[in-house]
Amino acid sequence: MNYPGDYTAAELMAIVLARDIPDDSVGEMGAYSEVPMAACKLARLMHAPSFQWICSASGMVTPKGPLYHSSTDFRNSQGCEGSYNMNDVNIFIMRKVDFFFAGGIQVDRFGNINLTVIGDYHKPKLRGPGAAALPMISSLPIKYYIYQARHDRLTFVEKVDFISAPGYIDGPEGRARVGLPSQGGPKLVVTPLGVLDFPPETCHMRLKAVHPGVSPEQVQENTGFPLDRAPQIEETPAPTTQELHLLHSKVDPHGILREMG
Amino acid sequence: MGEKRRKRKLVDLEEAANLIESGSFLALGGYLIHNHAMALVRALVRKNIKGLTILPAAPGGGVDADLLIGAGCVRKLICCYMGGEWLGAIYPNFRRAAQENTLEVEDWDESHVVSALRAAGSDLPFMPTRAGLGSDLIRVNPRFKVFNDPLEGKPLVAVPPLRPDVAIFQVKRADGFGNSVWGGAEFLDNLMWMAAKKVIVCADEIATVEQIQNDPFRVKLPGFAVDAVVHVPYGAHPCALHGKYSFDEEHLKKYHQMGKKTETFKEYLDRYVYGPQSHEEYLDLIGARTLTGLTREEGVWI
Repeated sequence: MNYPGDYTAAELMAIVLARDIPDDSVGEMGAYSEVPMAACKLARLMHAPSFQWICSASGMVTPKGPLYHSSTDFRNSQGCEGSYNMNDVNIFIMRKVDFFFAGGIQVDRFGNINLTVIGDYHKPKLRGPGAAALPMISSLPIKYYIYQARHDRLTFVEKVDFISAPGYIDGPEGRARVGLPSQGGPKLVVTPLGVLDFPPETCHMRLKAVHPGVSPEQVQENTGFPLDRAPQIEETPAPTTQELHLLHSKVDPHGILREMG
Repeated sequence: MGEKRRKRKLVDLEEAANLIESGSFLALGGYLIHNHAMALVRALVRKNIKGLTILPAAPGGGVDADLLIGAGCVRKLICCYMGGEWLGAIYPNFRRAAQENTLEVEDWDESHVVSALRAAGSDLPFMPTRAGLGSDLIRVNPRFKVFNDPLEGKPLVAVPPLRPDVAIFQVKRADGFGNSVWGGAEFLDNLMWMAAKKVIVCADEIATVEQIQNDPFRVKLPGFAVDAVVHVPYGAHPCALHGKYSFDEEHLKKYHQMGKKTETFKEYLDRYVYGPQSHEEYLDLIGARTLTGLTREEGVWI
């Protein structure tokens, strides 16, 4: 991405997610989560000192060392405040966690996520990694972030080939109809191009903000369905000097996000 | 003095591998690239085991499961996730076998596996959960049943139990009776051994029971639940063993690269699995420089 400034898409997405993380809350992410981990670390150094987070299946609580690629890397034990097994973490998620970070190989207009297959389930064109914990996360009365390393028409599709994790399914009544709590579902989608949300009246994915140097038309061109647009599309405020300084010096001194591009 | 007459459970790697039969249901401890009993997995491939049903740890299987799949040992995979994080988005042998329909894949949610192991450990016919409602996992898999909660009348998913024939683990330390100590995250290991019929522990360090008794609250698996203990230093390589050594990133990158094609994966197997006739020969092949390099990062591995 060519943003007007010296930062990468991964760095910008971590900053955008960090800004949205509330103080005094508890978050969790899964595997393959460099961007969410960086966001959690940055939020604690900025406006959310009491925010706590669970480091994926390792069950490690609020690591404070440098960013590593793997959320279950033992080196995350530096500065962590305890570690819990998966049995415990599964119960925590249901009772104590406020939000989660999700992603997929396809995402559709209603925020349904596919991590399983492209094409027919029994004869897949592409076999994806699998649903991980997202069917459970999406069945809870909590919101989650969807973050995507790519924003293109292969990822953002009209209808996912396989619902690994139901978002709003097919509209405002979708979740209640299948027995899911209506308070749950995706809150925001953060991509290299912008930020999207789901207004409760339609549950359609809607363009909320574009990143610096990105136009709404560019977001639409890279999305495989007609996007709704917020009445006033915002521009994501550019990363501040302080945010970038903390990111480079404290959160990610090894430059993992920079390397990801 | 009674401890001297107590039955020890120490066996060698080949004897441990022979406790696992072709066609059995095998649970694999650890997670992604952490804490897998890789030396035992390689011994299983060398003894030409076939037709396994495997359950990698939820939420993620890793290089252990993928190696067994790539070596043709697996009939069916019960799994939530086979991603390789930054090393490779999807495990290569898993992906190829699933796309070529040579592997039966049953997709579960992480909490389904947790529920299924809890059900097995509690000897119950199912565990109820809300996870999976509205998802296609339930639609394509007849083993999950949606039913109405008899008390509140709302829909729930019934998750059947999973009772592995054998569960295998790589732990930091065990004594000869099987009392086992983890050096870091336990992941799903505790529910796996509670549900499994037979448990094999591979340990990087063998302690005396007196040493174990000095710090009893660190024991997470009681010896009475263990059938066999194997002393296997660096037994998780190329994966990490939490609290002991990191993963071998270069080797894992090579694994993902060579796994992309059947021909190159055969080269991998010939070099690292069939070539060395024992775990000691495997460690010689990897080399002291590489192995000692896995604990180089300051302040972490002490």
